[in-house]
Amino acid sequence: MTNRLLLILVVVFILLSGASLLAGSTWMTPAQAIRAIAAPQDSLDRLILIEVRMPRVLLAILVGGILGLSGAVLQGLLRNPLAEPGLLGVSSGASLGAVIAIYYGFSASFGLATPLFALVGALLTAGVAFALSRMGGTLSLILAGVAMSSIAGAGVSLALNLAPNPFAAYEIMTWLMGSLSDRSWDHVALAAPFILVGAGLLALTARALDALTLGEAQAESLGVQVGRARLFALLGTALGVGAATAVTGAIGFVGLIAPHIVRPLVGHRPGATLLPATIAGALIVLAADLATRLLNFGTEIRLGVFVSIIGAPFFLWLVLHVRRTAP
Amino acid sequence: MKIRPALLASLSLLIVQGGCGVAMPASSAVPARPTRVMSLNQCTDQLVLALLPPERIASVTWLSRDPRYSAQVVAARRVPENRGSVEEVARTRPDLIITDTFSNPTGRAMLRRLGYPVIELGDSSDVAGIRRNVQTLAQALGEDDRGRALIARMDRQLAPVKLPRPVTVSAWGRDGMGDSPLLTTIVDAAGLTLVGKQGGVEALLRTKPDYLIRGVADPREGSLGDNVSSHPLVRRFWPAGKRLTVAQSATICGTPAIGDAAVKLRRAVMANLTS
Repeated sequence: MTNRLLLILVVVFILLSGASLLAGSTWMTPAQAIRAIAAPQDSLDRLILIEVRMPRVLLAILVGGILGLSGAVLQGLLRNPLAEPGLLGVSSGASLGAVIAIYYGFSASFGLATPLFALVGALLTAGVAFALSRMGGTLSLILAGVAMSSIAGAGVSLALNLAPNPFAAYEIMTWLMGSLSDRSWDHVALAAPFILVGAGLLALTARALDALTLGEAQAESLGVQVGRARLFALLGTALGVGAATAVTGAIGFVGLIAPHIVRPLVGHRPGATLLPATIAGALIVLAADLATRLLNFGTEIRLGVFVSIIGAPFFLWLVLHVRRTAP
Repeated sequence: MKIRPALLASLSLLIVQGGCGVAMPASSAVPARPTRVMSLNQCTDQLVLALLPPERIASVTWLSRDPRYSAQVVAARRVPENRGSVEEVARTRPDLIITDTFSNPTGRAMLRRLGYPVIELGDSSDVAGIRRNVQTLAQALGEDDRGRALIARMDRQLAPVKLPRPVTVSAWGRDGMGDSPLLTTIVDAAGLTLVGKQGGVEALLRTKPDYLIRGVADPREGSLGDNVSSHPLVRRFWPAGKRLTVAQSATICGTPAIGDAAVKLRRAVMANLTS
């Protein structure tokens, strides 16, 4: 079952990535694209494919993947179906960092200031949340995360409130909506190492997550180091999702939805959801990014906005569903 | 966090509607030649400052002293400043208040309720709108001749010129290509052709304009601000020499300042073409 599911996911994934490379201001046929890339000299199509569309597709995959993966890990670790990276303050911390960069004009003096500040913000909030929760258990980690998330959110509101001019406020708002448009290889180079290291750390928690379904004490008695799993999960989320938020802006709901889509198909074993959830997350972001390019409302629909419009009703359904099925 | 501004907006709407529901006393009459005019909005400031001598202006907003948003900095520094609040209006006791039709709805509702003489000018995003606003305001201020002169000067400056060869430009901002009506007017008047209305780097590469044009807040900021929207390909195909700027203060509000911006842009293009 799991293998067939993975195969289907991978096929859809390849098809979507391909479509994403061909879609844009003008559609290319696969033959055109292959010819353009194979050609020795620089053509316009080749430039667009290599310098504009490829980084965008790659970022969509990396960002969606890490969001899905960290959602799956956090839902397993916290044994809470509503857990997602945003819950631990990582997304809001990254947002605050980016907003500070935009607000104080650092982003105007060098282009990558926004992502760098966002990364630092994500690591700081997650670090504080972790430090605060070290004494207590899972619940205190959630509470500390929610508190840090609120504090960072308040900071963002304050920055918007005090924005030196309407343009700074506008820029902050649009950045918060999340987007993948016109990202270059610079952004990939900045985010990819952190996302890959984060994904590695998250993947290491798979066995601990399975044991944790029995409860923390039982997991400990099975020889699982729950504390280490928690550290890996949090550090991995902070690095990966922090870097993702840093280059794309805030994209919610992917981390929440992706694990739920694949969970019934893998038999509700948290460790087994990690890989399918990663691919599902990448699929969601790839599809959403493709949709933002194809749906033309005169103004570009931001990726984060599009995902929340689809994701929020799903969240509502999830809450109702959980209430219905809970004992 | 994301929901809060929308919530606030709907709340303020409720308040305004509540305010409109009560019977309002008629505004006190607008004097034929007001001598203590107070402007509560940065865009109406620009027109008031262009039409009236400083001694007839009670105050304009603090924003008009900032060269990033205002084309009337010198004139604005000669008159007192306000922050657009009703309290300041009550303290200043102006004989005419000029504001717009969208900002600070609760404040405007209160001014109406308190019976202050208020003129609300609509947003003008094209030349016809600018002419209409200047005329309306000039009439209310008893400065018809000055108003006509301003419009005539703008029309002269906006008269299209022909460049030695066709030159295409795209407006390139932080959201990719765009086309605001005011910027389009300035670009047309400078003899340039605006191509590409929408889209990111990809659409820009396909459009291939000769120059990129962008609104800059501060002439010194120009090169720095460019970094924000820069993609390696954009930098490669449109280096600094292939970029033109228009002062943000000319396009932020619809005022006759677009004429001056058109003249400046035309000079920059001519200098580029001949060099």
